[in-house]
Amino acid sequence: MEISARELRSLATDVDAEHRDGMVSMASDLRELHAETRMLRTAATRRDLFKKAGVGAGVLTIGSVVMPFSRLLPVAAQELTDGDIAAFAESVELAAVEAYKAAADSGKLSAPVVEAGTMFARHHQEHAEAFGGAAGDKASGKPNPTLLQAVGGQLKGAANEKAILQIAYDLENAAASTYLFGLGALKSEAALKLAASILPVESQHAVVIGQVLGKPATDFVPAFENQDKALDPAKFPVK
Amino acid sequence: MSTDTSNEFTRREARATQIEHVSAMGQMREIVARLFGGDASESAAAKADFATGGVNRRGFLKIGGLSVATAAIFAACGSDDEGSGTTAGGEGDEDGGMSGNSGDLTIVRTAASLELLAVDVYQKAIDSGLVKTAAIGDAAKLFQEQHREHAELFNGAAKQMGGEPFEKANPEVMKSLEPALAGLKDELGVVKLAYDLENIAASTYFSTIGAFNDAKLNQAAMSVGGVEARHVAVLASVMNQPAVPKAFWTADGAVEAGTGV
Repeated sequence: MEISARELRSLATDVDAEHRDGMVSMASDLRELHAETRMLRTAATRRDLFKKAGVGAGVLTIGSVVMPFSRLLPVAAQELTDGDIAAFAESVELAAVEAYKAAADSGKLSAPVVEAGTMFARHHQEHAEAFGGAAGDKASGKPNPTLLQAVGGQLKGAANEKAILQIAYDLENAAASTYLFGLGALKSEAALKLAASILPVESQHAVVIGQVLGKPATDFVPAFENQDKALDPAKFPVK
Repeated sequence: MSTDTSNEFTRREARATQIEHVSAMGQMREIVARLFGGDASESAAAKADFATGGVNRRGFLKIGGLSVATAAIFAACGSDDEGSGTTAGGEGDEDGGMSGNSGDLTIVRTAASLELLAVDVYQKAIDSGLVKTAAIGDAAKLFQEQHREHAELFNGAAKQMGGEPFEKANPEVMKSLEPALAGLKDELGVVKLAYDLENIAASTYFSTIGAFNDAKLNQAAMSVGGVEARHVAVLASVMNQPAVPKAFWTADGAVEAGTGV
């Protein structure tokens, strides 16, 4: 045997973990779909909104790494100002820019995929600049370090183009999910409009990547956007 | 070799992993080859166009699953018929759409009416017999069903506000679409009409943001608006147009709240 038994067991465990991750996401996606109408119930406070919208915990999966995320946002997150959220969004967008660069530099992508990734990276750069402007002096101008580390690690371990595309797919859906979360937390009309102008674009990125991955349309065109994959600012601090 | 599990278990797991890997890679090679390689006679521009929205139509459907609706090669893209969209009726801000003093109830009823309009338009498209490609038909049915769910969401909101749900297609917008519907000649025309309609829907939801008195409705609106944008991307790729042509969404073509309701 050319590789150790431990390595083989690890590979088998990864496959099993990926299967389990998919099943977790399916259950929460179905719960979210049925919970959508409950979002509109009158809530006296933003905290009530979050509690009523949440049905169990969601997880963010970037590649095969499961990062815990609670849909019931911690109190601290609910106290974020628009500037804080914009700074967070800027950092997420810059992490996405770096992720696409790393993917292109991996040498594992075909030319058309690199071209698409380059375009998406440009979009994310523009998004980052817009959020940076909205964040004012809270803007860091830097990629989110926690997200960058997680995604960077996954990209380094990605065996081939399909694995890289899956990481990008998860990232784009996470971004869209995060902006939907943002629409529940932002206060000013300008900030709301900015988030709403970007969410559909991340969603469209996910569609293109989902198509290339050969996923069924029901995967990359859900009935509703949801917050299941949103990045928690508390778990992904800007600095 | 000394291990803490049996060699047979290890061999079995390795075989299973290898089978899955080879299968996935084979399929991936096929997908990439068909999507990006294509026919040698296809121009480099056409091949590269996939990444920004085009799709290698010849083989995609063979990949299976409820995938993107692609079809036999279209003779040509449809003309850029601006008349197939609709613009705001009544008063509103300078780019139309739902803003200003429109009440939440009016907004959600208008939204429901537009969703039901989409349901009806997709049904007309399906009934026309012009949709020949199974995958396009499947996508139309999927999108139609999603619009039905969107309508339920907004009508549910209307009821919770103590208002009357709007339970039919927006009559004013439908009237403006009638010439386009009557003029449909082929599958491409159907796809183009759906594309325009989905763009209008997505823009309309964007235009509502910040206009609600109940801020929670911002999330409801974009939980739907994001999906309409996904519909746009799918339909764009069918027509070999850029799936993601812009970095930011706008309210261009949005329908004014209160139109037709």
